[in-house]
Amino acid sequence: MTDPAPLPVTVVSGYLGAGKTSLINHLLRNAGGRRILVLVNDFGEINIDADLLESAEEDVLTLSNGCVCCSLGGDLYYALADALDRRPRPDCLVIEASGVAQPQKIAQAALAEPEMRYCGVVTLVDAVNVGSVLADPLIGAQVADQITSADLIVVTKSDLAEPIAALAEIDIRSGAPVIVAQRAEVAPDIILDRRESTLPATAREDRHDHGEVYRTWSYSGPDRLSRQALERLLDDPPKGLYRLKGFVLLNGGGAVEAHLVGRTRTLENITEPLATQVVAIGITPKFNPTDLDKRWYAATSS
Amino acid sequence: MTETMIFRARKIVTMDPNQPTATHVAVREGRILAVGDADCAAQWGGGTHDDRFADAVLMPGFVEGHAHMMAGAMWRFPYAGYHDRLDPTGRLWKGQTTIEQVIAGLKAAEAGLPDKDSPLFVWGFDPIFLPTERLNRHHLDAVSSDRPVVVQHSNFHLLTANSTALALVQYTRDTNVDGVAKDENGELTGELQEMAAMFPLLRRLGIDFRSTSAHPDTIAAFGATARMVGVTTSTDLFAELPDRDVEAQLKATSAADYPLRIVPMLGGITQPPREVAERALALRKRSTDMLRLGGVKLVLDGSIQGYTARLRWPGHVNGAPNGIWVIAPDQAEEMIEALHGARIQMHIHTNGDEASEVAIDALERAMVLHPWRDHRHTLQHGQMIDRAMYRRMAALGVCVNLFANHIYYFGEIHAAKTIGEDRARRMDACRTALDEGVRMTIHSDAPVTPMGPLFTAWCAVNRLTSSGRVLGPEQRITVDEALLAITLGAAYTLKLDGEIGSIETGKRADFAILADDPTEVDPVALKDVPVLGTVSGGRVFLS
Repeated sequence: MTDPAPLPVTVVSGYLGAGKTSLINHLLRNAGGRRILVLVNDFGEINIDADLLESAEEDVLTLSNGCVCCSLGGDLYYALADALDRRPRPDCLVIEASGVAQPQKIAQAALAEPEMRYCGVVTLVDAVNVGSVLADPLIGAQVADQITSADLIVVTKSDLAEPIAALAEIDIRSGAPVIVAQRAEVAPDIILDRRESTLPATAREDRHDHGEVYRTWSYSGPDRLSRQALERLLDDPPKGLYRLKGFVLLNGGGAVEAHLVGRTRTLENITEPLATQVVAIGITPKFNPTDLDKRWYAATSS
Repeated sequence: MTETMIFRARKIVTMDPNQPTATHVAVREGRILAVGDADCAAQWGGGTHDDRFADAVLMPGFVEGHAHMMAGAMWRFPYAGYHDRLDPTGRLWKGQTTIEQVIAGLKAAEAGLPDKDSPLFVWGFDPIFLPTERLNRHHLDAVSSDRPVVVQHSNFHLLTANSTALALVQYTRDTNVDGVAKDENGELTGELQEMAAMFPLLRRLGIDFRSTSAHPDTIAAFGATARMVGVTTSTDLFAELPDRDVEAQLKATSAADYPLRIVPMLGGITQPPREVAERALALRKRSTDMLRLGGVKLVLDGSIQGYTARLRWPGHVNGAPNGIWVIAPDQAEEMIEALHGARIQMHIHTNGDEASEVAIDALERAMVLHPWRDHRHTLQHGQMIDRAMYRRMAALGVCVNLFANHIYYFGEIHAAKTIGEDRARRMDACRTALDEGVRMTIHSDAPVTPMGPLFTAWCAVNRLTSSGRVLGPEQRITVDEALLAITLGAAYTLKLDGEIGSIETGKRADFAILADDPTEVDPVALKDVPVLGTVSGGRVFLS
């Protein structure tokens, strides 16, 4: 029996009250065909409509859409091991970090484990109280660290407080793309990947404008890149690009499977596919697919 | 008529001020019937005399207020530490003080493994005591290039692996993960730092210390570890306690040949307060004499030597940034209020003084909101609590369990690198705690340091570091005070002082059997008083 494909891991971080639970409820209700496994701290806060609920045991909620929600319990690593041992293996894993967790530590676990694939730290920032929390001598440094470690930042409660101050606090600590929102209801397509090593349907579509929040970019064709050019592109991606995934044919033969989330990239040698196929997602207004067109063209001709 | 046994001893140190010493103790139904001379049980119809301990000294069974069940589990693997240690079978594992000795020990262990593929895993290694080259994968490749070889370091935060083990987790020079250490040429050294980097390997080797707390072998080894050092009651001070573990422990501790009363504390980390409270109250109902459930352990900060404790000004002497909160102070406050309100006793891990202060503030607030006088909440470790904080704790009735063993094992490191000379001299301030009227006990945190209450008492009495200097002589306590701390002192923090901790009529017949009188030996020899075994509920367990 072959090993199942690596499990994509997304970490949701943020201080108390920033909206982590709201985001997780949203993901579970709008899984879009993904079988998501979610590990949460506060099991009692998960609100699932009765018609979506298949069974509720002491520490496990099973949903009729294939998603499962478990209590994280005392030990992250054992919870990760249990997640990996689940059969069938879920399509993706979402971990709700505690209010003072160091999300990069969880990220490191996903990077170290060959059976996992790192899929980003999403940090939620509460527009109302981020200033006072960052100024708190007890917890300010740990909350700042959550912002610094983020691959994607979501400012919540922007209807209750002007987000300008929050954006300023974020700007001095992070270059990650920022979504300004009222509630933490981020589209699952932005932050979740799928475990299958096929690309999502968007790879075969043209670019899309998904309301105001994010835009996608894709390429499918005969282009070949040098490994160096691909590395340069991924190490210095265009502004606002959040995730990129693809199979890339290399100059002189061979191919790699490429993953980029935030500033973290992995390249893995694979057998040559029929064509190069790449899909990317970026956060507006910073992300402009035309920038990636230009960078891609430059990379193919270098 | 129920059987009565009358044990004779050279001396019985009772810890009961009504009768500080005696020569005989009568036991019936697992409890102490009478204490005194050969005729002490005459009023009760006498009994059968047992003179086995006629040359020994009996004390109340020692009480370890802060240890972990894992102390037993580790002995499934060979020990590779610097200091001598006894395993639960009583075998002495000599300390390994050079890399050559460590390698020789590994080769010997390797030769004893059944097949070519099974991994070699050893624990307890401490590189800071080895002045030579740092242990690396090449040393371990020389032990075996066929099987995975893993050396877990004593602090459990690091391990060193051979090339075969590294290949198992697909770590290469291209691996870009914090904690996968590389040398100046970018090659893997074999050292893996922190759980994120270690866990993929431990998982593949099937080393899972969680599943061990329900394992009969682990529970048995924990009992044996305790018995060898005279402990008849020990906490397991952070337990997940799923039903499976509770059932296994109820079964194991009810066996006629099990020598230890276990007091597991439910770990409350990220679960919401109401869930922790409900679980603790449900567990309390399942308590038996030998398994006492219902208390909760909270963890506020990290460790001082790991630079993860939360310190007040002026912070770390080497300039390291302040440590980390394991739960947010706001959440700790909420949890403490909820548990105090539900009348659940808490044992709260606070190493740094800022963490202790946050805990004291939260406890004070909870006590204003919910009157409950005899809570006996206990700060665990409390290594940097100062005199003013002790005064607040005394006013609030908060107890402390101090990590006296740190003075010996880490005192020099604390003075030089972590908190500096002044605060190192007053750390684990047993003297101040007692002087300010705080109920106090001392602990080993086994397996972090070896369980051994007489050693722990020796640390509190002498405050000698591993390099032999007295660190903070003003904080030393007397032998009598230290012996009280490891018996009634610890029993008080577990609300068991009415049942154990002294030898007096009505209490459980729990004794430590000693070859010498700890109140008579030179205080610097306190740690060397041999322990011959224990009596638990009247049952004799000789080592």
